[in-house]
Amino acid sequence: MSSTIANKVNIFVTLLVITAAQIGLSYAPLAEMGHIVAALLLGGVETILVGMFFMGLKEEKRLIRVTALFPFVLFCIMNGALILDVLFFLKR
Amino acid sequence: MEHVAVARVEDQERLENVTFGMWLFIGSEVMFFTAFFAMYIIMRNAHPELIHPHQLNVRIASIYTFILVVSSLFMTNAVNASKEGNGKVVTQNLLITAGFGAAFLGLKAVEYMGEIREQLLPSTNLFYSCYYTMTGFHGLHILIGVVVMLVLAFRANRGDFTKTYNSPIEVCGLYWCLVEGVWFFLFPILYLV
Repeated sequence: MSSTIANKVNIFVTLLVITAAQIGLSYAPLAEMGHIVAALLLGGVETILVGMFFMGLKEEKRLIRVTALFPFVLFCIMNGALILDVLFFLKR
Repeated sequence: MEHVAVARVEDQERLENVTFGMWLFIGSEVMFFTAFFAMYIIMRNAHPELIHPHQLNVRIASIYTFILVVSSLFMTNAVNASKEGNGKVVTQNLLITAGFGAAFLGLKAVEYMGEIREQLLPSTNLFYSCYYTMTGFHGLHILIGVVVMLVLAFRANRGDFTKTYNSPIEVCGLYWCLVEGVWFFLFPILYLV
């Protein structure tokens, strides 16, 4: 959990820009599930940035990185499968 | 001299073990919130008539995001200062972070009161049931974080943490980033789309 001040400020600004993009994107004419997918993707990017730079995963050992990655992958699988299910099966 | 070297190795091992344990805990928390997101997606699909984009206060929610992102900057400052053994800076940064957390909770309380005044209760419909559950649990995590930070600030001020013993601050920093990470998903899913 360490990084230089300049690096942290860069990440901070990037997070705010992504948040602004999320707000802007919510007004875009997308399908409902498109909005959810976009929101989850941008949220994922923000979380990865926080994990890598604020939580220091970038500098951690491989064991910690794998431990951190595992639930995130499960999150993607669970919600990805659910969204695919909603899009291709339940809507029929 | 040998005792000092052994103590340093023990401190380093303790930090590694504690950090690993915290990452396991974070993993379980991610799965906890994953279930909520899955529940919400299923609810949205089953009752699309209940969801209207921007039906909650987007302006307040944007302020929440800003508060959490700024607070995590101060939290990382506290962690970095703890590695340098600078107890005063650790205390200051922890108190500022706790202040931001308290501001988040205060705003949340104001938002909840406004919704309750408009009779938008958890029992109103499934959307509000999900909304109160997800934001309520997230708020509870923030409250726990604030209390822990206040305790750690007190201990840092007392001089409990050193260059070699700072694992509680490190772990608290990880926890606070988890709370921030969860919000990055809650904010767009509940407030924007």
